[in-house]
Amino acid sequence: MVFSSILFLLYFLPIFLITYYVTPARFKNVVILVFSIFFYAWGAPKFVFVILGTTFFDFYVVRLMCNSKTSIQKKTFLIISICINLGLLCYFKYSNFFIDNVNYVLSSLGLEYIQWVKVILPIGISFYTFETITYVMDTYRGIHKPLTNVWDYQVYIMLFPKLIAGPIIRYHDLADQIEPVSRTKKSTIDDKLLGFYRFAIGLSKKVIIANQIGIFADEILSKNSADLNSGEAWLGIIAYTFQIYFDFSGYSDMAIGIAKMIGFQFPENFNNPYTSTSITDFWRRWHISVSSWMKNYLYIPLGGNKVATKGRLYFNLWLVFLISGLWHGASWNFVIWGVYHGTFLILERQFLLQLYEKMGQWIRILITFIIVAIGWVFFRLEDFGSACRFIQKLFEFNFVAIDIEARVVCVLIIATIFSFLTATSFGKKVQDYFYFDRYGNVKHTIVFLLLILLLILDVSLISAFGFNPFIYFRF
Amino acid sequence: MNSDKIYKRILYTAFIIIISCPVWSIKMKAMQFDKIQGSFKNTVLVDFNIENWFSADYQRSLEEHIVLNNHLSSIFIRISNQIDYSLFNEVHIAKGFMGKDKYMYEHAYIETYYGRDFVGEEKLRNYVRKIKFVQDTLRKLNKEFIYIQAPGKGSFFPEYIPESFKYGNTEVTNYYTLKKLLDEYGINHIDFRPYFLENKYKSKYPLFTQPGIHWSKYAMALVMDSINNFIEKGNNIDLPEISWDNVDIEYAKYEDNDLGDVLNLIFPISSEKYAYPRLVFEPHKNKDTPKVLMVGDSYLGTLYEDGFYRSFDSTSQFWFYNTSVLSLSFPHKLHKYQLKQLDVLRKSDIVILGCAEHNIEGQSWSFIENVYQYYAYGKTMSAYEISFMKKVDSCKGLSGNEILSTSEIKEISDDQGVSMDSAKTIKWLWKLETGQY
Repeated sequence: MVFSSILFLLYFLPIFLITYYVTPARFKNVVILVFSIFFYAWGAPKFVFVILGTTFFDFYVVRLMCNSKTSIQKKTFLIISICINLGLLCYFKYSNFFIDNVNYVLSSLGLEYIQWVKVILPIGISFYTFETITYVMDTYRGIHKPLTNVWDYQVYIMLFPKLIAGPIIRYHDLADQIEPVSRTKKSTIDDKLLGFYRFAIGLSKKVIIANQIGIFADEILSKNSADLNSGEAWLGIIAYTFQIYFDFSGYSDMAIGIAKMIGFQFPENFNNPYTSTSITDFWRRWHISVSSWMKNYLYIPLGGNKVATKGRLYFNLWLVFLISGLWHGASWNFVIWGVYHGTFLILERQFLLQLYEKMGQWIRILITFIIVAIGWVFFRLEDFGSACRFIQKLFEFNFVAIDIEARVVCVLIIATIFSFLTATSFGKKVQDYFYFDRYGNVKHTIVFLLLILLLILDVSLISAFGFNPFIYFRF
Repeated sequence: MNSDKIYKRILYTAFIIIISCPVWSIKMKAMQFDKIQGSFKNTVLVDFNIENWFSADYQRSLEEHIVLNNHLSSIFIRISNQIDYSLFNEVHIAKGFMGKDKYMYEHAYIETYYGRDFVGEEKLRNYVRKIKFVQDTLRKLNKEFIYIQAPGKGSFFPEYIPESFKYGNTEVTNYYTLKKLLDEYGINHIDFRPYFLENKYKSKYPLFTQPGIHWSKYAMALVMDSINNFIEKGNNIDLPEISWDNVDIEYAKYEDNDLGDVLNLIFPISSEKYAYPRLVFEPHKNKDTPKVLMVGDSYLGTLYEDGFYRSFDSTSQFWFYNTSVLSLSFPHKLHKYQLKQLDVLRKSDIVILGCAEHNIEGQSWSFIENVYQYYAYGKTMSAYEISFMKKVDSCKGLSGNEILSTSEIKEISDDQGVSMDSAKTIKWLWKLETGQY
């Protein structure tokens, strides 16, 4: 079940919210857990038992770790927990990739293939295994006390707004919000309304911008590169650049919005990443929860910035981005994408940032945008050869006039405005007005009506998507 | 609680009420909207059971089913379509498009007008030769054969076709070649196209409409009257008369707005008014009521729907695209393989075959071929029919609710008053016919 489906918007969500609000505070977590299990089981009816079973097991391993008397015992349980979580991730996400590569090597050597039945990737596994790791690490490090109740831990992991596509919420960011009575007391009607606004904005980003522009991007990117001219190639990758941002950030907005409606405060996951003035800046703004995780649980344990040599620093950065690329998908293209970003990060530390300082803001934004857009080629075209041919096409500079539908032009303009608006002082004021400034009744009324209209438009677009009836069937 | 808080709670409650409206608005009169128009594949909800749950088939079918089948799906689709139409001039209709001045077309009509679907003179000559054989054979059996050629909207309104569609040869087309051959072989036929073009600006009321794809309701009344006169003269009989005592002038409706309806907009695209004759059907007493078998496309189908068959014996049948069987004596349509087609042919007094220009290339959907094979070689079942029925039998053995749910079979069994096994056969006939399996 996805947030932008009729079933979720008009059935699951209202039934969940009504049930949640009428339930006494001390039982609200039961409601969350039941609906979250149903939400996950809807799309993964078999795997839900695996996630429930492993989280149960993991909870008790962490409890044993916290109750250990010696540091060796503690470390042993830590390793067991991390191995379970990473093991799950590696098996379900990377075993196919691993076997495919081994078979490639074996076939090159003229040896027999390994027979392997492909494993199906359970939805959301990349997100919740990272969260379970934050739980064991944060409790190991003493950052926060562990939960005393296994059901509260299930609520933390299974909380459906973030379960299948993030944001990745570190345990200590959510620990103090799990207790339902205190959470309910702190939650205000403003939170609920702002939650709805955030949800509606996220849904609109996904449905009005991402889905519409995605059709155009797919049309171009599914063609053979040889059939494209440079203009089409650039339009296609720019369209995809916008699509991936509005799709992903839209989903995060919806998650943050729903959480707010039920009293949870999730951290931000995107901060206008296309206004970045460098790749370093980009990774402070894009998918913040993953970069934050990588920083706290991989980069810092590797030494972070406090390593002895620059060489070791660059190696750590590069490794973190390689793993980050691999986390996004089990394919060499994702690894290349990660390495591509890691390389630019290192180059910026070496000299690029100093070079950028001599340039104006908008030039830096444009350069960063182009670097990011080219990187998305590897993300979108999962075949390395196709990606290289496409990039070659971008730089052939054989531009030919293209016929674009009015609707696509309209959406591209909207996407461009909303991607770069906050680079202007006017844009920052608009953002503050909607996201940070105080809401009086008049403002609430205007914003509410506007977003209700947007919501109706979104539902209409979802309902009509791909609906092209015939005048009659022949029979 | 202060008034600000109360106001905000009201706003938030309104949000919950709005998103739950498909559930609570079902019984509300003010929230009843016109159904979605047009033909489309509607996802069948599979039965809920353990197997379907763990395979996720139930979930998939419910998610798809609910998009077009929730109480407010029609209005949501109309909002989206209206926005696309008003802002971007886009319409969402399979195989159709909007021409100049909002005249609606289907692609096939333009293809045929510009000869882009021309099948070649040899094929048409072969076809007409077989028509001739069938005609002559039926005459020997004291049955009349009539071929009816309906005009297409592309031929009638070429001036509204967009420039980008205008390529091909309007002189070398299926229509002109068939016309020549029908005359050459002496086929008994009525060609309505010259009459329509001649009277395009002279007719009292429009013969085609802006948002419709078929001839207008007014034109249908004229056509019915013409065909009846033709039958009477050719057979020296006196059929019950079809006439009209009054004509209502209204905005486009029924087939006059068939493409307009399928756009599923909030506001109609056409502001023009058209004529709707109030047809009067003479009683059968002291009149001749032959048994008629008519085979045709939706142009002849509109005549059937408008009461054309009320002049004939009630057991007369209309074979829509030579597949669906309709009759005033049946409560619902049948598939042609549910009855013995040759028996129907043998019992008919008059056989009418007809179509619009774009369906000439279909060559009567094997009707003439099957009748020809029967009369020339005694073949009672075509190879296609044999293989089709074998496939139906083998599909009946398939199990699994994602293939055919128990509720679907029971619905047919109850509706048609047949056994569950027969209902299964009927369902598979249609499933295979419409390419759903």
